Amino acid sequence: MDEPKVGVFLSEGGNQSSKVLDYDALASFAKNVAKVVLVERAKEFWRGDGLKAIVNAVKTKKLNRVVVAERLPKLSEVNIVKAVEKAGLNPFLVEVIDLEDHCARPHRNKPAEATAKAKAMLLAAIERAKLLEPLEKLEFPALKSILVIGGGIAGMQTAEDLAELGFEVQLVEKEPFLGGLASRAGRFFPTDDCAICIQAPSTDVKSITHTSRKCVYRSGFTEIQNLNVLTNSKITAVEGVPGNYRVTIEKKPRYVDEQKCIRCNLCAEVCPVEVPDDYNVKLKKRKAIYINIPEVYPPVYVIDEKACKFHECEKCVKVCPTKAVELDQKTEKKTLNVGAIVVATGFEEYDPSVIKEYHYGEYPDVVTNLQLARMIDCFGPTGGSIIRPSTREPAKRIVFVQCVGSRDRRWNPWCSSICCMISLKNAMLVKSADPETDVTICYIDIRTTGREHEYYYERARDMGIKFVKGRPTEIAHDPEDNTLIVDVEDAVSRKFLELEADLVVLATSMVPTQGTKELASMLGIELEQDGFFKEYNAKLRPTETKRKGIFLCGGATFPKDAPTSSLHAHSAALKAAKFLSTGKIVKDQKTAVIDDEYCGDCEFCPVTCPYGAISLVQKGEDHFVAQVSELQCEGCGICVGTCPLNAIELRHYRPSQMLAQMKALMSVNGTSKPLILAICCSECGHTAVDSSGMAMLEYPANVRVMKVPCTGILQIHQILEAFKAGAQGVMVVGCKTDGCHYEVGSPKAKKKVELAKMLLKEYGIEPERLEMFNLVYIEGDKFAEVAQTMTEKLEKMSPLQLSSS
Amino acid sequence: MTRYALFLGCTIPARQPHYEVSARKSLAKLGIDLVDLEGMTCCAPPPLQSIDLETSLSMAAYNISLAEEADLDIVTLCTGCFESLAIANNLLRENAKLKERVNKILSNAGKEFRGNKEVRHYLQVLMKDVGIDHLKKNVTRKLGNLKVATFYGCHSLRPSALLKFDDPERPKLFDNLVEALGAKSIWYRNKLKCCGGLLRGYADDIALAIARDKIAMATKAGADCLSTLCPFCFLTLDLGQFLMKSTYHEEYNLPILHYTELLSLSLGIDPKELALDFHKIRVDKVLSKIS
Repeated sequence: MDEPKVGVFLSEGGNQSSKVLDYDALASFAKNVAKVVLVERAKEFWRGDGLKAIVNAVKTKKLNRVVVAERLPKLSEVNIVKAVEKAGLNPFLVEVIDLEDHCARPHRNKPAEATAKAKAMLLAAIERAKLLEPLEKLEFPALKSILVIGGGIAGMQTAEDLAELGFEVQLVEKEPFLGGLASRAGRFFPTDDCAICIQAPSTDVKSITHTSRKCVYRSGFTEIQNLNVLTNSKITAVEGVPGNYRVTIEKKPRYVDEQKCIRCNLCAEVCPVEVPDDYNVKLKKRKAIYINIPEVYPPVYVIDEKACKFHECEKCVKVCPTKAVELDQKTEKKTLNVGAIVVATGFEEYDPSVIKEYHYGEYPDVVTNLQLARMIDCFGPTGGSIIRPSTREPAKRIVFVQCVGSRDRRWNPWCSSICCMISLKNAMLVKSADPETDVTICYIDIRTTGREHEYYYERARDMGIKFVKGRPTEIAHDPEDNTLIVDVEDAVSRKFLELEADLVVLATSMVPTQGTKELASMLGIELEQDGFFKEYNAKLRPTETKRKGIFLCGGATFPKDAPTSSLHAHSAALKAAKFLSTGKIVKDQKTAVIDDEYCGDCEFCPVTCPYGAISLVQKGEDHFVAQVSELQCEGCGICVGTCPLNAIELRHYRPSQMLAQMKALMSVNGTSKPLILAICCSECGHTAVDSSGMAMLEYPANVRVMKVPCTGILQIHQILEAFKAGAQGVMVVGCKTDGCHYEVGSPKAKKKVELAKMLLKEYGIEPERLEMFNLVYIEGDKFAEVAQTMTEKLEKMSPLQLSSS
Repeated sequence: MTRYALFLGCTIPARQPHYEVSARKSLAKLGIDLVDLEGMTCCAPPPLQSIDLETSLSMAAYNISLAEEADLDIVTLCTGCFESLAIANNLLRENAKLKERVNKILSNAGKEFRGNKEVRHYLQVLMKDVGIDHLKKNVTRKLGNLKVATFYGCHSLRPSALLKFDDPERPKLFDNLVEALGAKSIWYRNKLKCCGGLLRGYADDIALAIARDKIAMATKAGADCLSTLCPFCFLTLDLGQFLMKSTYHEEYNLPILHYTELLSLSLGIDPKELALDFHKIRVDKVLSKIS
């Protein structure tokens, strides 16, 4: 790298800055700093003539470092960096600081002090700039193919969107048939339309219009170009990096040739084995060779491995007119390379048999909402009639119990959000089929958020469905007359009721599907406490995960109704398409580097990295070193703060750069107060300082702000160095511990600060000189307040005397 | 011969000698040797725990320490005593700090709680030491056509994690032991609900309404008698029927029998030896059905 030639550009900004700061003094100060070859002043530098002046100076003066003091740096930096890059300078050699919100405004009543602080800030920026190194723009190849896990309503819609956008899509479903939980729901609320009805693909030439809806089996879904459906399959391993994930899939044998089966049902007729039908929640039996309902995809029979007697029987083989049954099919293993993965594994009903007072599984007439939905479905086990499983007689008195296993700390504390509507829907379908049926819903709260939903509730009441506000304490069974008795206290009438019922329907909680945990660990993504997949950010990135190229949609993140699942699915498709659309992933080189020589393969950093960007690679016998994936590294520096051997550095925040900045900030005081170094994270910490300036709040000028990517980067010795550099106090300002933009940085910094305080005490330094504050952007007032109180606290102490200073 | 220290408590010797006599005679017949220890005091009934836990545990631990000194496990008849002693025994075994504090109190009386003995209810003893099969063999008078409404009461079942008596939602122990005698244990509504007894003296009307519900449901289900484990439940449901008569003008005449009384009858013990006159509701109906 050439000798640094620094150009300093001072924007005099709005009235505030020019009234407070002495720009003549600042300019002459900057001119005298070593390696500064040019100082220019203008009203603004981030657009128009000012920007041209920077470009011109870079070209003519051969500047290789640019320091700009400009207002709203988070905005102006974008323009400046772009212009500088056009002028031929590496964009990472630019440093932009804010003399207005960080200096002129908060210290407007003390112009001399403000100017002194501005000098320190300028010097710090220049010293840091001198040590900056050029970084590259990195490009990684990305395959234009996508794996969708889960063939329910969400997965199918995502897959369809992506295939139609031209991506190669692999849709993997663990069951032998597509459709998922939603297809078993009979009808959907609030439209009461058929559950197996889906959007027909726009490529279906026979559709009357591309907006038509059709049953799954006639939608042409599987004939969409670029879409490959793998049923009866599961993911067993995921390796690789974003843009190129290598996925291993195990496809269980169907034992029936998909090309030959003509769905004649002769095989099921001769099959001698009967087992409970899981698709219909054990409400009926099915054969060992079966199809769920005639309307499913693929329309091919399948053999239940656990039930079939195979070669001992062979009746189906003999009867099949097309010789489609192949009892010797084996499990196939496939590996696929895909650029991105969409997880659409959905949710399932909680098994309420653990709630002993409701006797599910013991009394046959206690069923779940899904079982009732199967009965309502005319393709279901009862052909649409509502019966008591114990006697197969019509159920005339039905009691629904809401919140079974949900909103209950013994089981699942959350509200599953859709069960109220499901029960209302089922209750109304039952009631409209037979108005004589006596229907009661026992609830804690009826939650009908969503368009049309409250109207739905109103209609249920109009139809004569009864509502009892109370959670039943027990369901008893009178063996004499085979009646169920639901004990419930009605909180509205303040009476204990004993409701007699033929059928009790439990509105059970919704929980993550089985295997969610294993899948999450294979994919390297996190689960929420409730066991559902965790999105990157519920507000802004509801379909993304912390791992690039892995997306979520539908009930995999939380129970959702069908409309919301659709919304989520389309949104995930768009995000995945955006990620892969150019066929490459572009990112800058603001990444961590590891010094192999110092790395002691202690495994701290791979475990700590919130993005899974660090792995251990073998370097010789018994010797491993950590390696950073530049593709996955987000440049937060938490690994730097974790490494016990100082073997990791961030390219754009090297300890040498930070130290130079620290020393410069402490080099000029200009106030009579003790100097404080405020180390702020670039997210909420630094922006809280911005917002205090914007809000014209005042705090003393002895507080000097240094930006770091995340407070998690801090090492304890850096805090000690700050004191050595002349700070009388150190404030560490990070995001809220549960709102860290890099997940774990802020809580880690908090712990480190605690530890550093203990060390300070050991060294005979008051631990109160060091504090950590957790702020969000809007808490500018709090920043001003703690800066003030910290100063007052330090003023009461005698000055810190370190032997070296 | 299996030996147990018998813990009688207060209510049984004072008010229900028929419970004691039937227990002593029937258990002896089944090979259970009941040892009376001197110096047993109040069990510290469960409500006391909510007033002062340490005091109540100390009282219970005092009784247990007597059994420890005699190297005997304890058996109780009253489920209230069972609950107090079993809670104390398990709680003090699990919680070393609590044990230390209680032992400090006990040291004033020269006692120490060690926690090396078990506290059992006699139903558990019948199940564990006698066994259903052995019990069936000893039955000489089958209660063939007797429909018994079993009533567990509260103290035997909860807190289930500490008492480990039976599944509190679906208990079977009592019913199995009734059926072992050849009788039929019937289902009736609200079988697992409170007898109402603990509300007596505070809200007599509600207590009586609850007890009445119990008796009415068992009657409706066709019970010949209702069988209890707890002397307090017995009192509430037996004597309570007189109050039901005066308050509601309803006459149920449903005999209430402790399980030991049914057991004694089925083991062939002469009813005359069982002090059945202590029952407020005559049990003649039951006797006529089984003889």
